[in-house]
Amino acid sequence: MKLQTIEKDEFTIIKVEEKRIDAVNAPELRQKINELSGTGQTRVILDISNVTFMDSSGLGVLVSILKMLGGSGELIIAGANGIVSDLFKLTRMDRIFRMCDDPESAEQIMTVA
Amino acid sequence: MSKDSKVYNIQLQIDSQMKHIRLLGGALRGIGAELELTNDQIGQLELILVEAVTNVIEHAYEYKTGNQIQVKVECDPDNTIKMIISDRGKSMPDSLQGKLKADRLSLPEPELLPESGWGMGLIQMLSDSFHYERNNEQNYWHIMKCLA
Repeated sequence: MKLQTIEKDEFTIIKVEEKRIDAVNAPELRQKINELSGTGQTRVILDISNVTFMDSSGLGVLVSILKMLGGSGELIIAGANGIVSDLFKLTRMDRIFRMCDDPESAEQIMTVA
Repeated sequence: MSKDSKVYNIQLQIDSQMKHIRLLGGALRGIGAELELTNDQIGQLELILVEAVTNVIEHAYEYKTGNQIQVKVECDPDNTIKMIISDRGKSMPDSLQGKLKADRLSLPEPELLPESGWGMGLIQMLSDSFHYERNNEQNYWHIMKCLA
């Protein structure tokens, strides 16, 4: 899975540079964030603004990432749109994830927090 | 392509591999674009198809590759799109068939932080009719979505 990682002082932005998050590539995303949390970085913005399709397998991996980061960690999902945004709403998982329309808004939240 | 009353029939077939589901998704997007469906309609149809075929690979074929999954798409661009997904694997588990028969949609509670279990509920929510049948050692998923 193609990912771009941008390290900031207090958080990390991971930009998914693929059109899909599904059963094929979602485990790679979990592995990447697992490696990141191993270095102590548990505040993550996941920028999915380029993603045009995600299935429930992908959503399940995002939940596992949320659990992995734990109570002291923070995960913001940024840029969900179209059917990807609908997936969060239909499953009501938009109640669970902190979501922002765009990565810039997510950065502001992370910086203030 | 301009819309007319013609009904289109397309048949697709993949091997029972997760990565091949992407091929189905791509084909469905192409069909939807040719028929001038909206992006919302195309996205919903792709999600329905992907969830259904993922379920077939998981439950009917138990992730074993080398098995066929067929998808017949019948589209009347002014009215409906129907998808019939068929396989020769195991019957749908009773637990999933129970979800289909239930009056209420079966979706996991978000607060329990589920990592799976949304597929059938998503198909039910996004389609206008959905039923399953087992016939002649084959499974058939009949899914219909109104386009009007």
